[in-house]
Amino acid sequence: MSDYHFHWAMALRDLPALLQGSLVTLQLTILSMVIGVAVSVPLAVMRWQGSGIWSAVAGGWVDIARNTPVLLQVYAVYFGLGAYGLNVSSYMATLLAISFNNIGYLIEVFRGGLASVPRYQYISGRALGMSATQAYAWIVWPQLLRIVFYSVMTQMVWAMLNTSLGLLIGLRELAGAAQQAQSVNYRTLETFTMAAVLYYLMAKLLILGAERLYTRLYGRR
Amino acid sequence: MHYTAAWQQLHWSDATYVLMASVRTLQLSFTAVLLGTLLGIPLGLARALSPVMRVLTAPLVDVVRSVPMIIQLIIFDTCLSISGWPLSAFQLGTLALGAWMAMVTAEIVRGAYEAVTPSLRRAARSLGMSSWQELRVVSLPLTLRGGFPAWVGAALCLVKDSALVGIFGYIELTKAGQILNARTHRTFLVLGGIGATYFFICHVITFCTRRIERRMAE
Repeated sequence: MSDYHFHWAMALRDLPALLQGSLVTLQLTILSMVIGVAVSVPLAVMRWQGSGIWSAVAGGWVDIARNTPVLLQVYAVYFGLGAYGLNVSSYMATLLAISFNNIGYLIEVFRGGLASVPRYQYISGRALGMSATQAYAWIVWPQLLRIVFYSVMTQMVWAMLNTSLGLLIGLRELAGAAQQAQSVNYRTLETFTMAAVLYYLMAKLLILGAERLYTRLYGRR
Repeated sequence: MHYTAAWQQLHWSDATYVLMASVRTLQLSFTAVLLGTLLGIPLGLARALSPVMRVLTAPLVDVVRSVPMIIQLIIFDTCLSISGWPLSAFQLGTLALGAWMAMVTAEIVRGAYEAVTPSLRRAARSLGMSSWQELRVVSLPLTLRGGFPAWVGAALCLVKDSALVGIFGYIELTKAGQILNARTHRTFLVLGGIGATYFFICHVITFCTRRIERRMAE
C-alpha cells in the first residue's frame, strides 16, 4: 500500500451522484419493506392457522426465499422474467427480488410473533362478538407489532444491504452509482469507501429512526 | 453460407459441471467458515472478557454488519491489488467471507458466553478451579453449545453469500448457472436448477447440524 496515493478530491466530486444513488437505495428499501409486510402478514396468518393451500404457499415461499442466495433471486427475476418476454427494468427487478426475499423472512418473523401472542386473546375477542378480522386487527395485531418490531427493523437493514445487488443488473442505486463513478474517475478504492460510509450511515439512520419510533409508540425498552 | 446459432441445448454433461461448481461453492464456504470460526471464537471470548477489547473491536463488528457484502468484497479486492499481492479469487473470497464470519462468530460467542449462568461460574471457582480452568472446562463448552444453532445460521448465510464471489471470477454455483444460461438460453430451467442445488445443500447442512445439536443436548 506504500506507493498508493489517495485522491479524495477526485472521488469527492462524485459525491452528489452517490447521494442520489442513496436516495434510490432508501426508496427501494422502504418500498420493498412495504410490499414485504403487506404480503407476508396475511400469509403468516394463514400459515399460523395451519392447513390449506395458502399455508402451503407460505411454507414454500419461506423455504425458497431463505435457502437460495439473494443474488440468484435477483438474476431469476431479471433474466428469468426476461426469458418469458416480460422485460422488467432493473429497478423493478431489484424491487421484486428484494420484496420476494423480504416476504420469505417476514413470514417467519410474523409467525413467530403470532405464536407468542397467547391464543386466548384471539378467542376472547371472538367470544366478545368480534369477527376474525376484527379480533386480529384490534387485539392480536397491536401486541404482535411490539414483539416483532425489532426483527422487522433488522430485516429492513438487511433489505437495504441487499438492494446493493442492483449493481449487478445495471441499477444506479448507491453501489451502482459508485460503480459508474469509479469507471469514470478511476478512483475505485476512494469511491467504494465513500459508498461503504454512506451505507453505514444509512444503516445507522434506519436503526436510530426505528428506535425513536419504538420509544414514541411503546416507551423505553 | 449456412449459419447455425452458437447456443446448444442442455446436455447431461452439464450436470457434472454443476456438480463440480457446487463442490467449489462448498470448498469456498468451508474454508471461509473454518477461518472465520478459528478467528471468531478467541475474538468473541476476548470481547466478552475484556471491556477494552469490546470497545476496540466494536467498530469492526458494526461496520462488517452494516456494509453490503458486495462492497466489502470490492474494497478487499481493490486493497489487495493496490498492495501488490496477487491473490486468486478463491483466496479473496476466503479472506472477505472469513472476515465476515469471524465478526459474526465473535458476536455469537460473546452472546452465548454472557448467557452462561454466573452462579455456575462462581461454583466452578469455589471448587478451586483457576479462572483458566473454569473457562476451559465450564464456560467454553457451554458457550459453544449455546452458540451452535446461531453459528449454523451464520454458516448457511455464508454459503448463500459465497454466490457473490462468482463476480470476481471464482466459478461457483451461481456463476456456473450464468455461464450455462448464456450458452443454452434456458433461463428458468438453469436458474431453477441452481436454486434447487442451493436448497439441497442448505437442507443437508441443516439436517446434519440438527443431529449434532441433538447429540450435544444429551
